[in-house]
Amino acid sequence: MIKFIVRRVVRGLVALLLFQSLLFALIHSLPYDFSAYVLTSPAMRALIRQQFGLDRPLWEQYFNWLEGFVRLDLGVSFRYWPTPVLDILLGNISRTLLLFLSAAVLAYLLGIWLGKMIAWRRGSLFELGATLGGVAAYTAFAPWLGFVMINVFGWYLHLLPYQRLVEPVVWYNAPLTVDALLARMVGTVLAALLVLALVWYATRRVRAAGWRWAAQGATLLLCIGVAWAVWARSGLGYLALDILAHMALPLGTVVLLSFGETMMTMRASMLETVREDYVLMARAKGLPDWVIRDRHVARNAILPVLTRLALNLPFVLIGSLIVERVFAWQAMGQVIFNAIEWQDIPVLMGVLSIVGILALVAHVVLDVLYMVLDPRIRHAAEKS
Amino acid sequence: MTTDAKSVYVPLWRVRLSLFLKSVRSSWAMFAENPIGLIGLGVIVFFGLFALAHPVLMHTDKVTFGLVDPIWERRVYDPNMGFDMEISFHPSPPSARHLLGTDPQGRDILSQLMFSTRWEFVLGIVSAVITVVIATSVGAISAYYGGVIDMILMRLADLVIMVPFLPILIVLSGMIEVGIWELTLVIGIISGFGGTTIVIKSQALSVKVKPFIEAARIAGGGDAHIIFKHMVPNLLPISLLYMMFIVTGAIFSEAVLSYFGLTEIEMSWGIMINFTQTQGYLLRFDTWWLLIPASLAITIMCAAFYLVGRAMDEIVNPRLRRR
Repeated sequence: MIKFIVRRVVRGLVALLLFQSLLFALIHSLPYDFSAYVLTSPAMRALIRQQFGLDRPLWEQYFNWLEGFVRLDLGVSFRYWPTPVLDILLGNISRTLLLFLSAAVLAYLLGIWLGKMIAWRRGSLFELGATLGGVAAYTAFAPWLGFVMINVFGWYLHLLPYQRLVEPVVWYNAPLTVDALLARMVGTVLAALLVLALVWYATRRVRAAGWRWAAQGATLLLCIGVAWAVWARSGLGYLALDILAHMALPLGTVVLLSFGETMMTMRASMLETVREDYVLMARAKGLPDWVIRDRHVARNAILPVLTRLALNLPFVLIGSLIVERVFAWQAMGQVIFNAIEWQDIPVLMGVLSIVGILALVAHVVLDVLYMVLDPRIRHAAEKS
Repeated sequence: MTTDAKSVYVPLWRVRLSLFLKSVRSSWAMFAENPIGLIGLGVIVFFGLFALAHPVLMHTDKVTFGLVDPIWERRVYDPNMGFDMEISFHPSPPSARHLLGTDPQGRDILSQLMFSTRWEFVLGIVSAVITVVIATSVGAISAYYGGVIDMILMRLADLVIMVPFLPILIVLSGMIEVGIWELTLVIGIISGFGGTTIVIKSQALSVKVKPFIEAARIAGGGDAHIIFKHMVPNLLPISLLYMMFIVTGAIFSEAVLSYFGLTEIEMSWGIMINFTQTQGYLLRFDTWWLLIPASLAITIMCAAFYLVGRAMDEIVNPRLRRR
């Protein structure tokens, strides 16, 4: 198993090197002069070309760039001149990751659940409605979906704020930065999830369903209560609520945009699995319908869906970048589009590298997860 | 009538044609069972008629050799240059003269919408055809030869899948001028080496071990003959299926790029939304005709191709058929 993981990681690193080389080739094959935008006088231009190392031979630039990339030195931004690109990216990436990952998880959960339901009621009006709705949301023009959400929830209903990351008035005297608070919030959620998972694992063999559900429910309530008490005591609750309110609309938009694909894949996978003999056997035993659906069919149908997730991840990432721009939610999406406006090439290359690394890590993690979940692949990997 | 062998001789092309028609008929019967696919197909046909109607409305005089005046006067209804002087304030709401109103520059929205539909079709279908040609040949070659060729092509495919290509397109279009043909070409080539190739290759692997490939090889067929005459025709159904999804992706990418003002296309749905935004009419419900028609057109057209693809999936993939 470790051998498999190592091999997968090495393959990922090779892919990353290839990607960086392709990126370099792409950028340098374009008819575009790096120095043209920065300064106008020819002498200054020559100076800037020399300072950025643009007058050297191409292969030397290439190795310099690769070396800089390994040392995590992505160059200096043109627009915010002495600021290194890495600082700009690191200052924004955590929020994009937060939006992207939570949207991906929510969209998969929703998609898997809905796909299960519509596959089970094939041919019903519910299926037609869910399919049309899910596909319409999936193919909806992303910025427009954002405008609709803004118009409906922000403008006419006045329910949620629809601009910016936080409300400056609320944060006027805040004792800590947005990122620090976000880190604490993520920590709280992760701790609660960990406790829940532990309790679920400990009680999963309890025979009496009533006791099991009681224990799990009590833990859930306890987690929510403890989290509530901690946040109320810390005096930062109003800031957290402000962040959550500002995050609700972008998150909802990205989830709506991306659950359709998972739903359709899950439906197709369920329809394949329903034909297996063990499902017929389960029916013959007289098991309740929902037990067959949830325990026998859905569990096996979920594996192919996981593979598709890897293909779907870039789409979710693109969706979150666009949606961030529409909601003026200060994160990587804003960085990309601002950099394009200012033709800030080092920032653009840095963003693309980071996006590549993100996608790559997601792929490796999914591969390993898939192997852990599917015994057939695990055994094949152990044998070879 | 004699039952002589000569007298019942049927030319080969007629046999092939009747077989082809038969398979089309049985596929259509399966397709028609599914309301989702029919809805999608209906929408695509509607958009096709919509796109065809534009030149007819604009150039009625040329079509009828000058007998009839154009139904839409070019001075007023041209999608890019038109201006209606009889209305004092633009954007004007929908009226009998302009069924979907006019934009802030006095151009007819319906005319813009119809004009753009044509280019969306061209963009989507041409890039899908490029993708399918590349993906099918790469998939078949990679499955047939295996070894080093297979490894290189599949690593390349891994790379392309991994990287979300819209950011790359965004960066490209920030630096060079991207017109509709460049966009078509780039989308077609990039998606041709990506996920579609992997799916088609796995199908090609199962075709490769079929007895008729062996038979063709024993009969003395060369590599190219086997790949393009025997393997590719068996891969076409699944290629056609993926064409539908690529059309969706291409139209979506174009719309996003145009919306952010990164393309050099004169008129498209994305450009219409971009124009609405730059003129400051974006978040207003009282001028809904500027935003809603173009956005809905993008959404519905993408959804239609996606739905047709999903319905075809149930025909091409026998495991999904109803019992």
